[in-house]
Amino acid sequence: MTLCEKYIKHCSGCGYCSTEKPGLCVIKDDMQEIFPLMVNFPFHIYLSPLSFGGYNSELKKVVDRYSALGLPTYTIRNGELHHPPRYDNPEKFMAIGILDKENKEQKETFKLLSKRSAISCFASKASTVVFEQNEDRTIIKDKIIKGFSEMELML
Amino acid sequence: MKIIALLASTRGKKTATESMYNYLVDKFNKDNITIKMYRAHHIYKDANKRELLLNELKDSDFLLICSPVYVHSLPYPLIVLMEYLAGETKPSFWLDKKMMAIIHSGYPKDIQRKASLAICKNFAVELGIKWQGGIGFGGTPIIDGRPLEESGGFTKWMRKALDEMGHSIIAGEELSSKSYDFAQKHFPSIPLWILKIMMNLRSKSQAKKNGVDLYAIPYL
Repeated sequence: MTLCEKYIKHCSGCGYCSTEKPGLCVIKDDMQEIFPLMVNFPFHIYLSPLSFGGYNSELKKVVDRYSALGLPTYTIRNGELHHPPRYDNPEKFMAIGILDKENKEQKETFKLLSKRSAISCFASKASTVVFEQNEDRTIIKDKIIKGFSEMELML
Repeated sequence: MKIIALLASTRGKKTATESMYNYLVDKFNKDNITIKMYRAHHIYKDANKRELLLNELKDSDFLLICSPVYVHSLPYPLIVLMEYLAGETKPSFWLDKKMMAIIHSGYPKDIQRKASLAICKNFAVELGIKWQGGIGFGGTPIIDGRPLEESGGFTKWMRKALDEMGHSIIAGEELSSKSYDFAQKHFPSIPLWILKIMMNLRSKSQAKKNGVDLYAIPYL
C-alpha cells in the first residue's frame, strides 16, 4: 500500500476510540479501508525513508491512528505497561528503514523505534532492516532476506 | 534572547503539553525573554504559516520542542514540520542556534519516551542545531491541562526539573544534571500492577457509564 496516494488525516487525539465508541476511529478517511486490512493480515511490514531516525511523516500519519487498534485498558509486558491489542494481528512485524547515507545514531534510533512498535502491537516475532539508498542492490536484498529468516522472538 | 516553541499535541489548548509550556513561559517573561509559540497541528498544512515559522526561526536563538509521545515517537504534524525545516534550510541558517526538548507520555517507564527524545536529538544534529538536551516525564494525563501548580505533589519534581531547564536556557548552557535528576524523581515508584488495576478500573467504569463494549472489534 502506497500511503502518499491515500487521503489520511492526522490523529486529533480525541479519545473517541477509547471509551466513547471503543475501537472505532471517528475520522472518515481512507484509514477506514486500511484498518480492516491491518486487523486481517498477520504480517505487517513498514517500509519508510528515515526521518531523523524515525518513520517518515507519511507512515507516521498512519501509525498515529493505531490507538483504535488497541484496548483502552493496560497490561504488563516486559516489565512495562502497554495497551493490549484489540485484535490478534499482526503475528509478525518488520520495519525496513532507508537512510540517505550512513548514520549510526539514526540507525540505532530506528532499531529502537521498530522494537517498540513490535512490542506495542504484541507481535510474537519481529525484525528490523536498515539500509542506505546507495547501497549495492545485492547487499540490500541479502539484508531483507535475513530480516525475514532471522526474526526475533518477542514474547 | 528569542525562543521559538513548537508544541506538538493535537488535542487543543487544555493539554499537559500546554501546561508545561505555560509553566516555562512564566519563567521566561520574568527574564525579559521573547518567546513565540506555534502549535504544530495548526500550521503544518498551511504554506504561509510554515513560512512564517521559518522567518521567525531565522531571527531566533533557541528552538524548544514540547511534545507528547504518539505511538512511541513524535506526532505526525511535528514530523512534517521537522521535514519541512530540514528541506528549507542549510546549516548556516542554524548557526549559533540551540535546541531542547520536553517529551511526555502516560507511561511511567523512560524507555517509552526514549525514541522520541532520540529523534529530537537526531533532528538537531542533522540540521546543525546545537543540541542542549531533553527530558521526559511519565504519567502526564493526570495533569489534565491544568496549571502544573494545581497538580500539587505529583508535579513537584517536574516543576523542579523545568525550573532547572529554564535556568539552563537563560544561561545558554546545556541541560543541567540536576534537571535530569529531578525528572528521574518525577514519577512515584508505584508498582506497575497497582497502576494497572487503577487505570483499568477507570477505563472500565467510563465504558460502563457510556454503555459501550470496551472489547468491541468493529474492523474485523
